[in-house]
Amino acid sequence: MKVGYLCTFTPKEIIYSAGFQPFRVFATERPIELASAYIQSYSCSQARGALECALKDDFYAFVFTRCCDTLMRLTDIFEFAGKRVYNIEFPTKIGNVEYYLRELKDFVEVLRDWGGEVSFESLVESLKLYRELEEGLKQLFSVFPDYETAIKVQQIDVKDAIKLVDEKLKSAKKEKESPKVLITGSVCPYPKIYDLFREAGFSIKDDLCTGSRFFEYIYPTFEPEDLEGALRFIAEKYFYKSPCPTKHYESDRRFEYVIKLAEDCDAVVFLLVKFCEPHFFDYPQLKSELEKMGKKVALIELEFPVVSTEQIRTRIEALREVIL
Amino acid sequence: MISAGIDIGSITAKCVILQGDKILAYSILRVKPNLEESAREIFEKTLELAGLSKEEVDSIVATGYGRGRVDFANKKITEISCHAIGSHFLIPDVGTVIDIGGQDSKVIAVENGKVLDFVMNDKCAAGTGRFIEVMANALGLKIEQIGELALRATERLKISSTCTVFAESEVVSYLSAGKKVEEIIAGVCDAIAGRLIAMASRVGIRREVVLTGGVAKNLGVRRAIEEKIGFGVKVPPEPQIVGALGAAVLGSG
Amino acid sequence: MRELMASYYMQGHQAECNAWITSGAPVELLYAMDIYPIYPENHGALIGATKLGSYYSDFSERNGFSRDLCSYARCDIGCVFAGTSPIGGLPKPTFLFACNNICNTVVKWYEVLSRIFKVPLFILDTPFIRKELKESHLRYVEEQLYDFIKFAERITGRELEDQKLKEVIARSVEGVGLYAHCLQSARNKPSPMNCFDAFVNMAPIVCLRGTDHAIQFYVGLKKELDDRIKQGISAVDNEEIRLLWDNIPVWYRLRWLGEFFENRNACLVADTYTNAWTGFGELKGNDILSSMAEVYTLSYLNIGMDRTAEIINHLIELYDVDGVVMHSNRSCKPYSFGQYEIQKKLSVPSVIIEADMVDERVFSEAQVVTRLEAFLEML
Repeated sequence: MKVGYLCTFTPKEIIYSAGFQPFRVFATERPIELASAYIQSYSCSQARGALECALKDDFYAFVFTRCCDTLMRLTDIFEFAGKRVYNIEFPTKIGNVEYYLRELKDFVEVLRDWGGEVSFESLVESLKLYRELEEGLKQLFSVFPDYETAIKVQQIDVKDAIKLVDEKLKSAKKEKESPKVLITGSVCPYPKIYDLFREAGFSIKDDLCTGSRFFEYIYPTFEPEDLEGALRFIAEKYFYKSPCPTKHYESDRRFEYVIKLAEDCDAVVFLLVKFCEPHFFDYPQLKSELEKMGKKVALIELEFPVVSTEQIRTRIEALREVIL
Repeated sequence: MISAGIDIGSITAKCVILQGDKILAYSILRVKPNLEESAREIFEKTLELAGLSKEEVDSIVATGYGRGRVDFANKKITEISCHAIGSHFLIPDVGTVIDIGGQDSKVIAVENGKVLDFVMNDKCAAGTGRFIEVMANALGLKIEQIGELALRATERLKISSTCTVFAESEVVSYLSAGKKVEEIIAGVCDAIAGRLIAMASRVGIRREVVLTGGVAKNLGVRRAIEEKIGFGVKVPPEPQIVGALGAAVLGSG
Repeated sequence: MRELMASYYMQGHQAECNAWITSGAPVELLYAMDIYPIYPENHGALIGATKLGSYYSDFSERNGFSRDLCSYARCDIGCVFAGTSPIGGLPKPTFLFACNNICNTVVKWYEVLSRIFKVPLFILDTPFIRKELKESHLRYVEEQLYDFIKFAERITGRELEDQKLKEVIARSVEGVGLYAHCLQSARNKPSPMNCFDAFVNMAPIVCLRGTDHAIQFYVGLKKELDDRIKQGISAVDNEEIRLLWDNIPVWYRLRWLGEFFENRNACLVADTYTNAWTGFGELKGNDILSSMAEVYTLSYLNIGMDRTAEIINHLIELYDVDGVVMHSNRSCKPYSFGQYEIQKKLSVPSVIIEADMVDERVFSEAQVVTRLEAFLEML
């Protein structure tokens, strides 16, 4: 049974270990119609697209983690629309592991109510599988950033996902190194957008929630010995995952992270979903830091579903011409 | 008792003169920038058609977004109430009115001519007459051609943007990709119907569903709406004058 | 009122140390340490009321901040770039204090400020209480309150004295009590005040909560309202329809909206926005920090939709209103998303108007008039 989730901070390992199929919900190619009866048009199209998907497709439940104001309200809206929901209160301020551990324990209870038992063994197995998937994706992306695969693996069984990544890795050809563009933003579930960059002559590196932010983690170094230990492992794993603008970090970890990623790139593209507050607040100051490093910066605003790509193509080609 | 209803919309002005439950005359004109002048003009033209003089009209009710500018009206009522009453006058068992105007579209839940609840489109033009006008322009078509053409399509393309400007560029890119005009048009009609039905589901859709406003004549939009709600809708013979008619009914006491 | 707030801003400029603070944060801790609180949100409202929203927002937009961002934030950051504002700009902060019990927008907004001013920022992270409040949530917030005290003590070199905090809390509770009494005078029929009066008179409970100034102000206001009731003076001459307002005011259209309703014999007797501050009256004098954690975590915008609808239904009953006017506020997602669903849970009819609290460019008068008139006709 599918359990839908939207945010990469969702502990999918726990959902999987309880016998459910974690399924990342994105906007699809379908136009957004029904969702506009539930939420205003100044919500981002990722939220509206996911709601549209939830209304039309079959899910057992949805798990939310608080990240932005829109998702915070979306939980209630999903419930109002007759969906089974649960929200894990992932802290906005990264730091207090003990608090989040308590939230994860509560989540295990919720899964039990849904008919899914989480045992130490099943959770450790799930952790191992997801880590294998993450390491595999990391390897694949170091040769060729394959977004179609990165998106697909979030919607299938993790074991099949590992196999898929393995196959892709075998046939992957190394991209030419330059010029290189760093694409930063939240989600972009349309592989054709990434192709536009390649067609314009760029090789790609990313800081996206449908790309590397799905698989970049600094793993805790301890071996879990019991269920609590495994949950603690998850809490720490997600605290130290690639930083996101919806979280508040001591020092400016998010900016430092993007700046470091941009070092070997010639240009940076902010690929942002219209109405995405967390990213748009960061944009001006982060842009100015990147420009100080001599990077060319462009902003591309998206609304899902992306049907017409011609304007975006023009924007990307113009950027390519500027850095020639 | 003779009453007149004047509806000053964003694109057209409408006037209906009513005696009892008989429509004596009506007319429709494009509005001029000067709304006061448009109001006088449409009123005089309709009087002429009815063969009446101003003095013979007992009450004048103004509606529509320019209602405040009809200085000779006895009363001003919003088009929401007027569409409910006008629809009820024509189709007594109306439960839902979907009015697709030039800049506003609205869905009104009605019972015995009384407004139970209503929703209107938010600020953008998606789901309004303006949206169709922009798309027709982009395709080099006249608005009147749209409905017929849409019916001819065997397939329909997806227009996904909610924003009129983005939707226009989608339409243009379909054209440059060599897609058939009727399929694009069918997509446009579908997109509008989708927006309207989403709005309608906020107040609930109850039979009979009556379409009013200029776009109601568009067969493509009508068919798309019917497909989405799963039953037929009713369209008055002259859907554009329903607001003015409601105003005239209100004026007749 | 005007003098009170002028002197409040003046003192902010003279204060040895000050903190910029969000409207839902526990300001009592600052007053207890003689740290002067500065409210950018109040500043944003003031800019909106002077109809300069788009003017100051433009300074932000030219620096790359999207027009889709919160207009309070755009105006406030815009004033920093402009180097001034209708009141000559806000004094530079010693530090920043943001609590996300009103939105996560303030976290991002204050991060921006912290980079501009290069001053420390403390985020008080309150979990969203969608259903029940858990012990673990309270403990999490309470621990952060201790962290905050240490943080503020380190920066200012001052120490928080228990006795002083107790006194501030007592004044805060007293002020909120008086304030709530003022708002509830609108239960009288006809009402001696409307929500536009409430909006104009809310600044002291936001900015000066915990001081004698707020107490004195609401003592005066209470007397004035009690007198009005005695003399039979009403806010709207011929009150036929009583309404409730939902969401932040449309600051640049306060007078226009006030006249609109008055001309139609309708009185917006109360609103969810100013009533949100009455919740801060639950603070307890003993075990202050745990009570503070609870009260501030359960703030009006930090709770689930079921509870919000319950509160609105309670206000509907308390003020005996016939309908609700909901402002769908482009700038405030947590306040606005869910309104479509809440509408269906209310015991009286409601209408939604589209606007923005400060940015007058998104206000369409014709659309708003039609909606409101049709709603009044329906009632």
